Amino acid sequence: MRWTDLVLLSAQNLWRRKLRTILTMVGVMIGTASIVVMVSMAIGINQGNIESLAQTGELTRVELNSMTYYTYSGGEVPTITLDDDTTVEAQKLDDTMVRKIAALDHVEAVTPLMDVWVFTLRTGKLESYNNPQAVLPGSEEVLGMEFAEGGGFSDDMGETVEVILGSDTLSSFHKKNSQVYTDEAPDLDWLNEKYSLIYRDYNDMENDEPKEYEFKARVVGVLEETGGEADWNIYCNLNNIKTLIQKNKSLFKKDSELKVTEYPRGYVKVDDFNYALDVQEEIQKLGISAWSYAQMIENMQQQSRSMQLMLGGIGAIAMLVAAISIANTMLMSIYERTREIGVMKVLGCRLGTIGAMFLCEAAMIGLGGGIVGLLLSYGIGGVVNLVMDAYGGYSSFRSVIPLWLAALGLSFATLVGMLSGLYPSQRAMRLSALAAIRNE
Amino acid sequence: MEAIEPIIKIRNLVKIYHVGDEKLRALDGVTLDVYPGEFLCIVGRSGSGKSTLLNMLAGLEKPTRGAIQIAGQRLDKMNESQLVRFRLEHVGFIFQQFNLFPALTALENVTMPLVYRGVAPKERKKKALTMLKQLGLGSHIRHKPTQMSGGQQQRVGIARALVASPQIVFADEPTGNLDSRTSDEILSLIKEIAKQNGATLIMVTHDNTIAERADRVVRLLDGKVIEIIDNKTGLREVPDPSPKEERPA
Repeated sequence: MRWTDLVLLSAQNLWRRKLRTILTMVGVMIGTASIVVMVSMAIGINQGNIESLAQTGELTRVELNSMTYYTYSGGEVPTITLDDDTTVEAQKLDDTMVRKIAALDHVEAVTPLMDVWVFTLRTGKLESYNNPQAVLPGSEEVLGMEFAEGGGFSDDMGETVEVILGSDTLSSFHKKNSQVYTDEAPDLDWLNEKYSLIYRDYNDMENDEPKEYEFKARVVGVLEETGGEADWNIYCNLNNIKTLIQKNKSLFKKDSELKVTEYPRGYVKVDDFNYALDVQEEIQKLGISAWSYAQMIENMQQQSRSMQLMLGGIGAIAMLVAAISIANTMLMSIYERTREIGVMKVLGCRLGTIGAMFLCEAAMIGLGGGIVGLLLSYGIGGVVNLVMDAYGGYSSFRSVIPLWLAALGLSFATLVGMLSGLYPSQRAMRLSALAAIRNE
Repeated sequence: MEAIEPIIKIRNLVKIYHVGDEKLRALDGVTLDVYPGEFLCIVGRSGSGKSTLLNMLAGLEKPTRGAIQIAGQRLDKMNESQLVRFRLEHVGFIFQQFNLFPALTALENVTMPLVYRGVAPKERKKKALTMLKQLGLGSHIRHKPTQMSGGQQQRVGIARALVASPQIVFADEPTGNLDSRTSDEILSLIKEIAKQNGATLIMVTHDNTIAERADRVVRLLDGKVIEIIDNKTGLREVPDPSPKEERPA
């Protein structure tokens, strides 16, 4: 028998019992939809998490941490444990190391970062106590900066310190010793105000007040809100800071945290998020502790996979019920068609063909139910997303049905149909032709 | 008789049914030859074993003992798949109950044996149409079985049995469900078409007027052949009642 005839005959047989076929398909539809919707939510939650990370531009970033910076000479040399449980000695994060890291594969840019928390930024009578960090010109991209006003650092090596303000730092400017804190940013022409960096020497107190030193500063840019940590940062041009420290050696030499030969931290931008973990490992091998969101995402994805399995498993219960109902429908159908099957055998229809016909019918119930179930899943997913968009706000609870899930849902429904049809089709093949045509 | 090789050789065929603790001998040592192209009637009272014999010849039932050889193949040694294949290649079957597929039209019913043989749609439609026209059903090809009279249904059944040009056609009381006038018509049609196709026709009936129109008549009683009548020559043969140890070559 030709396979086209087989499919056609099977379809015809199903059509003869429309109502029963449809009712059985509804079972498969519910089974498919419950699996697909459940898994799509697990995927959606995971994707939402990744997206909210990606929005901050932090996915392709690897953070560097020097393990030597804050330890005093003479102490034990700290070590870093790699993935394969070997250890390497921690190295200084200095300019040489920065160049080494920059030369690694998939590294787009590197910037060392210095915490210059000893400074605060002041304009007029307002001062922000947010902790400034110093980074190199060119690191704007590494840090994923987007400017609302102004732009990035210049190549100027002078001692006037260039500053970039994170979006939320604007509201951190308050009157000195003010007890009133508001979330509102003062109304300033941010790029054109006069600024100064204040250094307070707590070793030199007058009237319980540390002595203040003032250095010139200039705001060159204000950042767009990103939702990431950059919003709260005040960035200083590292070149200017270095010049400043070198010109005031006598003042800063007491402050062991202000070294100019090495850096405590740094950021690396990789060209592709998928290589972030590799780059992270390579950097660790060089003796610098490294961390990235990629690691976090890997953990998240593992969690998501087990969640997909769990939710899919719950959905599979509905599918199991559907499978039983397919088997039941097929057995009923074979019982009713006993005579017909017998006649087919007498007319010389091969046993395999008879089996294949019933298997095909069961598979078609599965496939049909699967298709409708998939459409239903898209519908339910759409409604869930609409509701979430309307009321969810920050919630990342969404339904996402990738192509692979749709394909998997359909194949699974078809497979369940075939498996359920396996026993009935065997029964049909084993029916005695004689008994079949004898019964009245 | 002519020196033609029989198309069917039956040797010492025994069928025993177990009904509870009792053994029922439905066939008790039947030996018979059937020649190509002839019209053979098997007659006998109900319970004489005639239907059992027919079912066995069609490979629908296994003999307890004995041998059946059809077109050079031993049916008693085949498994079910081989029997199905054998029927596909050699046998057409006409039922008392017509046994048409209720959901299919007359045309579709007739094409089914060709569908099982994997014949292309165009060709099988052509063959089925020719067959139906031959049987005078040219205007009923789109009718479903329930929309046709018994005689019409049986004509569809005949067309279905013969459409694949089988060597042998079995008919189990084909007119049993029809009135006498229609019976006569149907019988003539079966005979005619079988002749045209050169098919051997073996028919089970308890109707003596039908048996009169066969080439030969085999009468069964209690599972034994009690007489074979050749209607052309009028010769009556009574077989040796105890040929039990005979086996075919």
